[in-house]
Amino acid sequence: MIEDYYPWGGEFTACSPKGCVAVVLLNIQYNPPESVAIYGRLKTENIGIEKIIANTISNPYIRFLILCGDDIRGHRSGASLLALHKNGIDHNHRIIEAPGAIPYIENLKEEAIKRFQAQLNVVDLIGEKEKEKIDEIIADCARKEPSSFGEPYIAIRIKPEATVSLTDKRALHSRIIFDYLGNVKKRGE
Amino acid sequence: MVDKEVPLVKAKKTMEKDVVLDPEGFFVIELDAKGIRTEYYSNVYKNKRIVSGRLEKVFVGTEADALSDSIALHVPCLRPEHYLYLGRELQKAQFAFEQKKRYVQGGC
Repeated sequence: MIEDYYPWGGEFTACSPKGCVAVVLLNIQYNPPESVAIYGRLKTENIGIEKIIANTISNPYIRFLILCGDDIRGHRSGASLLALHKNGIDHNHRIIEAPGAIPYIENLKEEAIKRFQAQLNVVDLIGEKEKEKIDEIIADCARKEPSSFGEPYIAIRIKPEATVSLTDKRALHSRIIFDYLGNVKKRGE
Repeated sequence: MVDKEVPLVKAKKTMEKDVVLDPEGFFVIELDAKGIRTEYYSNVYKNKRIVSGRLEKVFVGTEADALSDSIALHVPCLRPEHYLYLGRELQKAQFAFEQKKRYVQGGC
């Protein structure tokens, strides 16, 4: 179920699938209310940001992305995410005007970034660590009851590898058929 | 009389500044609700510097030994110290998963 909504997966907490808020935790000890769709930590300004984009545009009910806590020292991942939402990326895949050291987007197409910019309203609470204040902003966003953005956008899907081995009896049996006389035939013959 | 002499090597940790990054890529290890999730990325270079990675494979499991074996099978050309690092980290991740503790991937 979680894989359907958040196909890249990762270290996050999925709560209410039709919640309209996703919360990005920077340097903060805080657990958002269960009414949010998803929350998790952002560490790096490259792959970390890519995962957030992929795992939010895949759920069209998510319309708000709230960033809270102090920004990550050195990486400036929070500010880089804001820059991505505002400016996009250049021809070199670098987030335009991002303050992070290596803010490169390499696993997503530009179309996915455009979708992120269109679907999500980013709420900048970088520096805010007060639980009551953040809870209040989350509640404000939820009260707006925005409509779904439409179809999910799947930027990356992790596909289970198909493997067949001689010890895999299920796979072997699926390729043979016994008729009513007990004769064995290969499937498809 | 001694038939054979075998060198005794005293263990020494490589300084962080001397660590050679693996040209074959890097791994991101995380815990999720189901177990240990290990993502393998090939390096992305800009101006001869590694700036990010391209996701190539994802390994999931709950046991460090199974994950180690699968990684060795599917990503066969890593530097030896990289495999050893992965073994150590996966064991830590397994311990954290079993003990329901937070796991933060360490450096090499």
